[in-house]
Amino acid sequence: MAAQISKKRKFVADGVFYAELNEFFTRELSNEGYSGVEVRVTPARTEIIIRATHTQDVLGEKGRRIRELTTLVQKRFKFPENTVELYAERVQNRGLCAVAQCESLKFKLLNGLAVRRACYGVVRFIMESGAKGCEVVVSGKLRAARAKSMKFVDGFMIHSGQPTRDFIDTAVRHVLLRQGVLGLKVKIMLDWDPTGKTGPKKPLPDMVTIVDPKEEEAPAGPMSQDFSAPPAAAPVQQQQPVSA
Amino acid sequence: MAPKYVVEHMEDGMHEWCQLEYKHMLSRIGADNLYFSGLTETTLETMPEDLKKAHCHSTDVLSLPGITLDQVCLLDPAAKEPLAPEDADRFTYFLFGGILGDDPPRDRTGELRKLGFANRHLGPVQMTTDTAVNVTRTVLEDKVPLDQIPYIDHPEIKFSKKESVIMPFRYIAVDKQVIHTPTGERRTVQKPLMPPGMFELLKKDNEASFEF
Repeated sequence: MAAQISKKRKFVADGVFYAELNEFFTRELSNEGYSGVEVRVTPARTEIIIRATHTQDVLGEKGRRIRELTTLVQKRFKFPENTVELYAERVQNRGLCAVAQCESLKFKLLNGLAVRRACYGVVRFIMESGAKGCEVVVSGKLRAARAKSMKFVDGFMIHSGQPTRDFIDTAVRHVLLRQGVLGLKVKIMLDWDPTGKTGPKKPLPDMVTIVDPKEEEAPAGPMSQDFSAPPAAAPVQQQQPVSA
Repeated sequence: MAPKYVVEHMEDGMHEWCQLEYKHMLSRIGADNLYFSGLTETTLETMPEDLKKAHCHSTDVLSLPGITLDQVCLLDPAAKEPLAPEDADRFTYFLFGGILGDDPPRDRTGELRKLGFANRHLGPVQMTTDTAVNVTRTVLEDKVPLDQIPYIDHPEIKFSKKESVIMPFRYIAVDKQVIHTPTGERRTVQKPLMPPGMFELLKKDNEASFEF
């Protein structure tokens, strides 16, 4: 960084950079199932990781496409040579990625598939990938009909509170019709996953698990337990107190 | 003199949706006071028999026999004044655009507004053509003010536990008796007033595909 930027400006600039990258890749890589970027700044270089479902197409023939994208990013944001690197990463579970499913729905409708068939296909794929619930809404005007919103749901969905930020993945896409716009909304509610890979680590706040009581031996008679510190020269064979 | 209702058909062809709405209108108003204008030759041929009982014209509204500009009131969402029961004495003909609407509306009523009619609005939310005619009839003939009619806005119509449709329009609310099955008690529920057969048509629409 040549000049010193104030911290506030730096954060805003980072946000704008991320937003522009995201928008550019959304438009450019919609056919490759693009679903997000991650920007990592290291002292030597800036790494941009592109998450997509068809990583092979993002890389191109012998890495050609990704090199072109790198040059574009470098020239647009005026990065010095060799300071920006692009990596493509495959999305682990594309059935749980709202952006990927929204793009898939968009392509199905653009290819002339019936609304019910396209939406049920998407809903079924999402639920089979292990989601807790999902909701797909298609809003627009069919020819010879009035404008309406068609909604397809399955499973369980929450609507309010902080858990919506942790558990729900949403995506909105616009498709241009001859006269007007079609709106697609996909909302996926993830299941909780202690490993953190396919969902948040903590369960819903109002989920209560009642554990079975542990097996215990009934005490034989009155007993007393000594919790004071054990003597300094303690023999190896020490009588262990009966643990509760 | 009973008000006359004129619907200027602004769609290409007589689609099933239009047919259901127009038949609903006919059942409420009667064939004598209902006029259809702007029907093309092909539309006139494909019109169902019961709709032909109303006055059908292929010319536009101003060419209807005996009609003059000052007798007509256009029902227009962009008008400044709401419709009132007194308008029944001032105007004879009430004009509606037979439009299958978009959301947000594309203001196709503007094509009729250009002809210079006096206009009145029916509230801020878009209505289907048959709802608009029914509301107008209730205001003018039953003398109920516009804001005292019970409405339902943007109803969600469920086909199954997994599928539903939200209609972004205003409908008149009617009471329907629903039996509450677990306990067997009767409850009155408000439902939107829709033409008979509309539920099946909405369900069928989900099987259509979009044109690009």
